[in-house]
Amino acid sequence: MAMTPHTTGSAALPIGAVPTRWGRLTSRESLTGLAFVAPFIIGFVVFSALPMIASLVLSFTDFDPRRADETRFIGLDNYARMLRDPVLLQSLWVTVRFALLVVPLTLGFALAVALLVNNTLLFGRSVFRTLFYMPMQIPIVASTIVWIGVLNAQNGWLNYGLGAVGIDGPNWLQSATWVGPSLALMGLWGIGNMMLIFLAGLQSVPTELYDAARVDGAGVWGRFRHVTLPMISPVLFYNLIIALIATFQYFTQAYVVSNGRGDPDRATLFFNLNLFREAFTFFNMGYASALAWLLFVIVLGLTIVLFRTAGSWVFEGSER
Amino acid sequence: MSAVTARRERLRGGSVLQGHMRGFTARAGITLLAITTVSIFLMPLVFMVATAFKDQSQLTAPGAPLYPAQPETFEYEGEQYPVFDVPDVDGTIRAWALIEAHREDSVFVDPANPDAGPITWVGRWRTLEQHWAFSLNTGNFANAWDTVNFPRLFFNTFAIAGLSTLFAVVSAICVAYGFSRFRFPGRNGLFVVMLATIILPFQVTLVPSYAVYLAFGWIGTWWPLIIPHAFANAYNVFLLRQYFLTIPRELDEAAMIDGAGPLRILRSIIVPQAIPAIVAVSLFHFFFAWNEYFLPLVYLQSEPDLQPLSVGLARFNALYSQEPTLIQAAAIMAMALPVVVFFLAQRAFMRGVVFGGVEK
Amino acid sequence: MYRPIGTRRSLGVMGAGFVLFLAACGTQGTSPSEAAESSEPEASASAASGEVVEIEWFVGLGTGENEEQIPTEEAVVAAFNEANPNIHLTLTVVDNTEAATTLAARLPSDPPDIIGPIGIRGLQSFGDQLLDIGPYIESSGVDLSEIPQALIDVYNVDGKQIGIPMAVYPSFIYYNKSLFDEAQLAYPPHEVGEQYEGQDWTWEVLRDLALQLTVDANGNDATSAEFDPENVEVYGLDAQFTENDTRAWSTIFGGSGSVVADDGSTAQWPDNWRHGLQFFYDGIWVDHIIPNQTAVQALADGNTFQSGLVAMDVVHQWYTCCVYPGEGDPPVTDWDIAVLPVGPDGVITSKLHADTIGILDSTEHPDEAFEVLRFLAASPELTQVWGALPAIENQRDAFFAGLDERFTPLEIDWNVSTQMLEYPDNPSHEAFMPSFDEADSANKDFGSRLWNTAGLDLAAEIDAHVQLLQGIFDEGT
Repeated sequence: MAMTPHTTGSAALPIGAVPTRWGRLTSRESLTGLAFVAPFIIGFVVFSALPMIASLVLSFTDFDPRRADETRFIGLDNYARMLRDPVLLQSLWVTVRFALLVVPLTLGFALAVALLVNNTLLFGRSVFRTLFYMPMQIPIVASTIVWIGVLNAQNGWLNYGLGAVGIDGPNWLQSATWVGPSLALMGLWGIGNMMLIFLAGLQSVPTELYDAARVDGAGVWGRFRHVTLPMISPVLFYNLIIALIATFQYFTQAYVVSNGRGDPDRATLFFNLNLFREAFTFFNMGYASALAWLLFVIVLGLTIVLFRTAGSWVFEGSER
Repeated sequence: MSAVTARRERLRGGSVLQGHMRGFTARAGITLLAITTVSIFLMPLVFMVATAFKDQSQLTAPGAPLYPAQPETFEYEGEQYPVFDVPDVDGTIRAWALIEAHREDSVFVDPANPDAGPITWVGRWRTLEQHWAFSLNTGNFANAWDTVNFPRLFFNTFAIAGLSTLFAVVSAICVAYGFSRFRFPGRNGLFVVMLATIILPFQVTLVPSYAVYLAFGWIGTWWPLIIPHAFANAYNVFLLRQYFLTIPRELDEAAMIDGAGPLRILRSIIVPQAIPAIVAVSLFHFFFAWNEYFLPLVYLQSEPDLQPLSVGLARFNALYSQEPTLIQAAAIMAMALPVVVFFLAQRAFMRGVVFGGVEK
Repeated sequence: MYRPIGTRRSLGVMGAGFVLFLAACGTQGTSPSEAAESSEPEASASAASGEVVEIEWFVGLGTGENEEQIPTEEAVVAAFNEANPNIHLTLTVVDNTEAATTLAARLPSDPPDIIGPIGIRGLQSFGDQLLDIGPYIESSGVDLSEIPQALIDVYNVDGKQIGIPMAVYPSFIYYNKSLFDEAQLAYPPHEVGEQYEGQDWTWEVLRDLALQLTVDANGNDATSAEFDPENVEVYGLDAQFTENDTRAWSTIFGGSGSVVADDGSTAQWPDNWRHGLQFFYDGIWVDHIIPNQTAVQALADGNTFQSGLVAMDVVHQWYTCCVYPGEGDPPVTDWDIAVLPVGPDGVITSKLHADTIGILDSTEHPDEAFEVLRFLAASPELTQVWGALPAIENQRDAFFAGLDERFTPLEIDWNVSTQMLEYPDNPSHEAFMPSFDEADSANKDFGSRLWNTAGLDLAAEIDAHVQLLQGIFDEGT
């Protein structure tokens, strides 16, 4: 998965299996490597593999934690049930629609902020970095409560501000149309980590590339398009994958704003919230496990597709 | 002469002073942009602070100002009555206290002249504006502090997040080193499997995991929140591996020629080179552990004395859901400490984070 | 410490073995032979052998998890431990929103012994996990004669007695006297059969009253032509904390009913329920006398009566927990309670909530757990702190006296509450449905839609919803 070789610009570092002298030490190398990876292998077996395999096995049963001793194997029934579950389709649609909105929005905003606080012209850069990172330190439960207050249709500040410029703000959290954008707005508060990773990427772009571009007469946009973007594309790629996974795992905020139910009118019934309902409201743990594996397959598929196409857009177009 | 060189000429032209001026204007402009953005971005925090200093009654009062304020009241015959701006018969606005409300006519009293007795005013009192005066209500903080055992919760949260971060970072460094520097059979497969652990939602593995921890006798202790992280969390390994791949191998090889073993290479070459990434990962993991809510709740339900801040705060929130002012006050106290710590340490953090590079 | 559980079980495939392992934990104690086989030979030890038995009481599925209630519960637990040296009772309190989740996560491997207070709804989720305490009641000679038979029967499910009724909560109208005074209208009746201004006390009469009590920001009431429904300031009517439960709404305004036909498998929405739901829906979107969800959240964050901007509110007896004398804006200083009107089916229906404490049938110490249950059921301070009318009649006067003390100088006419107890909804609005949890959730999703969407063709919506319910019933295993 991870090792797609690609043609790179001058400053790109070699990727993948490289040197030759290590090759001779293969057997010893293997042992050493395995020794270093051992913590993961042990932990994986105990804390991940067991529960994961258990959930795979459970997905072929009608397991209900309240009646564990009555569990029966029901073959592929849970997977067949997905096909006739209208709520599942709805939750998939809610999730995909939200991903299309929130992934570009947060990626773009995080990049813009990173560019801003990386700009040498800015006074007090470190203070601004800290301020943009700050919301990450607020417990999610608390920050969601704050946003619920801000988005309140009657006395929230957002509608107050919109009203000041003559816009009649919607009922953000009670309207099936606007609750998605509301959550996307909330998501902007969670860009701290993305911003830092972008920042690290921006810092690693060699300044001589910018100088060269300047000499070639590239303007601000040209420099961004032909130097910055290609040079930070690996970071962008990492952020994209993580953002995508996070969106499909989106749960806590939706849980808090909708009382754990997906209100209004199932407009916030994200895939994972639906799964949670199946598991812990309806106690269909078997069906929920099947849903989890469906999610697993979807996200894995997306990730693989992204890795496959990565070669074509990561590190392209820095031809000079 | 191309347009490009012309532009470069123009750049070099002009006096030094002009250049300075232009530079300053650009700096001021960028800074102003940043200030504007960050103000809008942090507006909810301002809302949070303003709310925390308000009295509960102000939140639902129609026409209440944004800043913390109290409706002015007047004491008449031992009772408090709200003061309104009332247009008198001759059109002058008078601040009168409403002592008896009806639909079409109401009874007021003039605070300036209470002895004159009640005045019956014909009109609808609901159309009148109430009189507000700025007033900070600090009682919310004291109230929240008394209800929530903050010192104990902070201690628990720091202990859990700190231990978990320490273990997580050390193990992630080892595993990422193994993945980035050694070839062994099934390496790529293992890496994919590791990424896969990110994808499976925890809700599904909750019941089996609970059974595993119960078998270990860990229910009602911090171990389920700490030990699993001692075995390398996939996010951290992924990020660190990306960094390690960017460290030139020539450095390793030079050290090898000097007779250094893998452990020493890790200690003296890789770790110092990757400090930014390690700092970033520590930071990410710490705040992840700091914010974790659901698992602590499940594993520590029977031990209120061991619960972290997130659980305490959620309980507080459920308890006082009718009183946002109290909740916001508690939330401010919950975030104040990490924000201050972060602010003090941010130089070190940020320097660490932003001088390295990430590579795929 | 690590202790092997059910290690003697065959371990086939690791995963399959794991499920068996789960099952093994789940069956621990459910049948004596299994328990004896397990690694705890003293599993059936009793007080006789001088061992101290651990009993865990799990609170959070209903009321009882509020910070101010916990000290009383802890005191009762301490008193029990004081009196019973051979049993050690521990208390686990989990926040209500997470209680069902945490309990379900624990049931297969680490179940508590006693759960409650748990309402009729909670029993639908966990009812078949509860022990039949009928035999224990007989053998221990517990006297239930003080409790009305109808209430005892609430907890008799499929011939199993799963609890002793402790707490009941009839519903009635809380009304804000200040708002009635402002509109110069007479207060609603306090006696069943009493008329209001010369008319029989029906929902239609109440609706006219609510229209006069609903006021917009300009001071026009809802009967006036200038009334501005976009800026309602005072609402005439609400049924707060029903969340979006369509069965509850239908019952309040339409009388008792069921979504399951007599054959036990066909979905339906009876005519009186359609009528009741229409009354509620029109009350929100046509008459504007009832707040929609957005408005509800703006009114003291859902505690609408406390906002001082709701004139009449249909809530249960437990609501005395959350009406704070002298707080709110304008402060709710002056309120009382009134009887419910006659519904479209010609009778009064006061939807009833009831709480009990049950014993999980997985317990290893049923005898000791029952001892605890007896003790808790006989502790009136618990019902007092839960704000519940005690099921035992001779405890009620003391209960009301305690409330009077709290609400001094107000004098609330508690007689309304005892009258309304005579008219419980039967079947209950929380009664059994096939695939209960899914069906319940679907009812609430439907409610969320009605609560937030104007201009729906309600008859068609109900028909579509009944069809959806039918699908859920059929999916049930």
